[in-house]
Amino acid sequence: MSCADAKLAMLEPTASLPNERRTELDRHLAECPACRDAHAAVANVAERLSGWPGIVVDPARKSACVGRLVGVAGELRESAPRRPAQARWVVRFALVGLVAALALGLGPVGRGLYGPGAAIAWAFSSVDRWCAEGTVTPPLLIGPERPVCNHVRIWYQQPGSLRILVDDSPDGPLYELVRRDGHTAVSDPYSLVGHGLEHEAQQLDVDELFAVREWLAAKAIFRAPVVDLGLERFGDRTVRRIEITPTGGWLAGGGGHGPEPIMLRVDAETMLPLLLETTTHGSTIVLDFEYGTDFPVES
Amino acid sequence: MRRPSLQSHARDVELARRCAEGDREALEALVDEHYGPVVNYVHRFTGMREDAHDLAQEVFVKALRALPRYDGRAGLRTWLFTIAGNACRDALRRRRRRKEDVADESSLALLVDRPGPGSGGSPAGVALDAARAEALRRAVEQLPEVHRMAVILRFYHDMSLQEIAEVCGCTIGTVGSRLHYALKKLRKLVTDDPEAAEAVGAAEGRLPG
Repeated sequence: MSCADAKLAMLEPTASLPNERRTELDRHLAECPACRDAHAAVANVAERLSGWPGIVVDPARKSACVGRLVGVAGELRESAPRRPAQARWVVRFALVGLVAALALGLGPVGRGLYGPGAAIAWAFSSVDRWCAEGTVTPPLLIGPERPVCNHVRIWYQQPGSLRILVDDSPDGPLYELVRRDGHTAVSDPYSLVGHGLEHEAQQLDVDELFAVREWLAAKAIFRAPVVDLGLERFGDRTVRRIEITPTGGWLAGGGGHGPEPIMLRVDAETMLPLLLETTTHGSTIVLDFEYGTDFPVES
Repeated sequence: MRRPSLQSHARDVELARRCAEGDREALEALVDEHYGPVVNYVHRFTGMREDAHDLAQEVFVKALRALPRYDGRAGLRTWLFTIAGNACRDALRRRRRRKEDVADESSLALLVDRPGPGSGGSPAGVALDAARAEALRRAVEQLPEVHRMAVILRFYHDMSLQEIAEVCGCTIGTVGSRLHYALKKLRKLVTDDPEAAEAVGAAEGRLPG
């Protein structure tokens, strides 16, 4: 076990660490004084944290909550019927068709660095993985996220599974950013974003930039001025429109034109992000957080 | 990694289905199992104690409205905590906008009634626990939101790194990085906090022998 593995393993709750991994960790700790110190420090803080007491829940609070939920459930039953389940499948197949058509040369993808075969393989692989049963996908990522911009198309189903296709002139700014360290094909998001931004000297916290989604939602952005533009109907649901003006980081660069606002649409009920649109370095970026809804995505 | 077993997965999906249909028994089961963890998560994340119940109730209402879209790929607990995390961030943003500091100090009062580990139940020991807990609470509140979230999920809800990654929508590596960063910062904050050090020192002085 390497030190990096050990540092990850020592953070796992005991119940989550398989026996063989536990044994490997113990063996590593016996041999590595630095990790032993780190492990002791983790245990020390964990022990201290256990002294922060929690709220003991009065059963009346639970009853009140159940009462409210029963009321809301009643309201929901009386509300408009939901979209048929088949519709989601229709949209899924439409995505496959769209991606295939784009990859075959009808759109910008596939015309540049990669042949259509590779593009199709990536697209289908992404959709197949999404449809595969038994995969655990975070609720925020219920479908393949499809960030689209004029020069780069990125598919990723989970933050650790990023597929990126670059279609830009070799001296284009986005291509240049992505190409650093050879990140032109299937790429690790940490390497892509971390190295890319390191080289760009953006002075962002690289530790937090493991995934493109996080990169866009990095704290530099959310510390920025945020304006709530209110509710609107979006497809079959009500969303809240939030305008964010980045004040730092790569997005604020905008190619010398000053920061472009980021438009974020979140579900009005759950506040889960649905669609993020912005323009930077001459390209439009659209993050579709929940594929399967009828969003008018600009390309 | 701890993954939801097939049995618990099937149970979650079934429970979610029944809840979405408004089945009172299912809603009671959902609340009975998850209300306590959610309210404590909200309390520790936002620092709000009195409002924690209102916020937790909002989380359940939002979850109920979103249940038709729950597909069981993540555990119900993980899913609820994701919604709770968003609700907390939203509440914190609202609070910042109001420029009110409503973080209450009642954790200390509670400690007097509930001795922490190692106190032995003696008044001096309880005071020492209270001082340490207070120092930690203050330190945790100073962490950036994403780090605070990881610390709370890991150390108060015993979530695996995989589960935390699902709640936070990031990779396991990111969670590991956040936790190490947060723990390092916590140690520094507690060490550098003169008020906390004084309180702990005073309480230690009251301990027998």
